[in-house]
Amino acid sequence: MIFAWYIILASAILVVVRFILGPTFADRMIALDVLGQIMILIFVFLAIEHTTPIYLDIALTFSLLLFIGTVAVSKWMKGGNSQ
Amino acid sequence: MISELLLYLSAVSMFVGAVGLFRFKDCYTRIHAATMISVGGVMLALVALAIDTVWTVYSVKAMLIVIFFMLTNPVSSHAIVNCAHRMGICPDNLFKDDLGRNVSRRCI
Amino acid sequence: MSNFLKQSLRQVGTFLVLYVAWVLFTYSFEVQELAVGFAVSFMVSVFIHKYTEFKVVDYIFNPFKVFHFVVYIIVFLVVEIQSHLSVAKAIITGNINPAIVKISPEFNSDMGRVFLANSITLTPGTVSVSIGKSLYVHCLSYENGDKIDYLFTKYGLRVAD
Repeated sequence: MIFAWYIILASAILVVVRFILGPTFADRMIALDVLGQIMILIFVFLAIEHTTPIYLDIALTFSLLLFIGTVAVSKWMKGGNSQ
Repeated sequence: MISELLLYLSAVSMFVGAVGLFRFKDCYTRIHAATMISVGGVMLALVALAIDTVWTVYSVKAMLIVIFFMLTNPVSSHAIVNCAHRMGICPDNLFKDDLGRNVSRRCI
Repeated sequence: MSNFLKQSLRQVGTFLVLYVAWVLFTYSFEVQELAVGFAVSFMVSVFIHKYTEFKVVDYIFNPFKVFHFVVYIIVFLVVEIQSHLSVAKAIITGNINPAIVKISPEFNSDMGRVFLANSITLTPGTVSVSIGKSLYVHCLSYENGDKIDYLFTKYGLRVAD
């Protein structure tokens, strides 16, 4: 199990580097979305390790807030009344 | 045993997706790596948790999160790509382009 | 009369979906939690029932559509695994030929079009860029994306139309 934590740490560092040096807005938005999904995966792994189902509640709430935030920021950057 | 294998597979798939997110050239190809992380990483880990503990509180909540993720993840992904296309970010070295001329003028 | 009946049926469907989600997510069958869930899902269904469109009744009582849905899920899983492997190979080796492909789906309803676009976006390797009368799809490799569009249109047309 300790092997999986190191893989998660390495991929999170790669995503943060992409967030820092992404040239356009969309790259940073994708990196932020992916960072939230890695957070959900961390919660799932914590629920498996500690054997409590309360981390899954946090995972569902976090995924809901992530979806609303991503869609709202994308719609706002798009601008206008485009469909 | 099979659930442990699926967990390691999801971690490896997430690492491959992160490498792809770091390595690709423009944002239209990076979103494929992001889809690979969300489907092959998160949903596979949740399915592994649900296989491990069948018909308990874990598996019901995990399957609910999987269904919710399956409904909302394409919407947010499409919102990002459509926003990038409306803002006029053009994709690199396309092999074939059907869209090109009629939507964004800055792209040509 | 018919309009009123349709609207109340829609509200009952919304309420049932919300209540089942509440019960499955709290997963404790005490009286207090069930009562609070009843009240909350009734209030939410009063507000949002005019924006939802359920055709669940159409699907459950039609065995052909259930059969086609199971076939579609199997096809979807196979395509998903194949495209995962191909995207991983493209990431490691680094040779890609991206393309934007126009497909014109033959779905009549909005729900079928959303179904097709969600399925296309959920597989890695293809993402739908613009949705209007016709659907523009950005593929990571040109031949693979064309095959995926053909398969999803062929099998999804039997499920949601």
